Amino acid sequence: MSTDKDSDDRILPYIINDLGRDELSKFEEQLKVDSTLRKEVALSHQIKLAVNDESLNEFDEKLKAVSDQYHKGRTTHLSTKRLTFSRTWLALAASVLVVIVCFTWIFLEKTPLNAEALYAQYAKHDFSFTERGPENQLIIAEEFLENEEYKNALPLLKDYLVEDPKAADVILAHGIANMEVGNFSQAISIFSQLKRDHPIFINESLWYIALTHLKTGELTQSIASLSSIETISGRYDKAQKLIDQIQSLEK
Amino acid sequence: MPSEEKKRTATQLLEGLLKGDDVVLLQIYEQFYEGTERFVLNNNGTKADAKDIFHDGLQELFLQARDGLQIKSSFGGYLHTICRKKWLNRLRRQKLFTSDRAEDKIVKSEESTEEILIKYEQKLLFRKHFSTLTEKCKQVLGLIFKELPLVEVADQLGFTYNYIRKRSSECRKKLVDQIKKDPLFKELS
Repeated sequence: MSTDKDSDDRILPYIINDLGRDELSKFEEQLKVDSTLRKEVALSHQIKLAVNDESLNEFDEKLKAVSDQYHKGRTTHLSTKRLTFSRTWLALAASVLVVIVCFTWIFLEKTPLNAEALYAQYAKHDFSFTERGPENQLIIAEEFLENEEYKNALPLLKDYLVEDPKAADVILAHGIANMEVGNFSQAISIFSQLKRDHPIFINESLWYIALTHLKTGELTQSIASLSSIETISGRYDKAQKLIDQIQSLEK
Repeated sequence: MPSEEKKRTATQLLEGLLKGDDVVLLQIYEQFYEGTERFVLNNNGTKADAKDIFHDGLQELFLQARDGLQIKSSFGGYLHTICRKKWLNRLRRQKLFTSDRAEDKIVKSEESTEEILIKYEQKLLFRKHFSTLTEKCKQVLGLIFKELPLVEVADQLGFTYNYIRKRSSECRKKLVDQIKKDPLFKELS
């Protein structure tokens, strides 16, 4: 049995005590005899409590932000990705792996690298800003960054940060753009501030400080920064590998 | 060398989760997400399903922690049990999984009863359906659920009282219908 239209319209005002005296008494009379209506009211009340849970709402917002940050980091760092194969594909995957391992061994281990080549190998950036509404400025900046037109992206990022100075992903992109165009001290300063002000970007900042030092040939500083990356970070394995490679350059 | 974060106990992780501490939340993702993802992927799920289940699992854990949950064993194990149950329940509703094992139906909880867990599941279900409503419906119902009188809601949104009353009733009906059609709701009722 379904409730009638007038009763339906009264459910919400009823659960927030917003019915006039006459309507309220009519509604309460009907509630006494209509079990379907009673269930509708009870369910609507439960929904109200669930939706109106402020601390859960706050938690949910934070969780979404952290989840975005985490998954964005995972997408960027392919080395931390774990690919799962079905049994059918396992044999093929193993063959491909052998080829990749041989390739890596021949070209990376046997070919002597310099700092510049190492930088090029590791400087792969991912720029997808957390959505903040239809800001053309950021959309255009993202396009420039993806096309490696860092010089063009810089003024847009800088302007955006005047309006929203706490946007951590934009700060990071601003630092990367500076690093790529050769404003090294500016880049280090941006990454250092990001590390200080945004705890969840600590490892990301350390990684980019290390890359900036690598690009300028300051290998000791680069190793120092890489060594500070925490073991829990998705960057950790890559950082350890890069340390080994830098150390082999130093020998 | 293990980092300071690595040394956090289950209680510290739970406290950090309850406070919505960004660093702790990120640590939880970094330490435990992949286990859940592997489980979902190995059991007919996708990466999107894994993200969804892990998010729901953390929300449920937050509700439990807020009600005084204490984890005496492994934080990761407890979280994984919640996520595992959620995923298997979803598969069961899609008829992709059958099991008579009690632990696959009810979370092995240290402090909570099944009744309380159902209450949490219901709460998250209501919120999930609310989030799928149109922006206008969410706006209208959101204000009314905050117990703002309909006259004020109408005033705030620039509509007449009659329009808001009609619109809010339609939105409520749509939301309730959606919830009632969800197999999980039937299962929890």
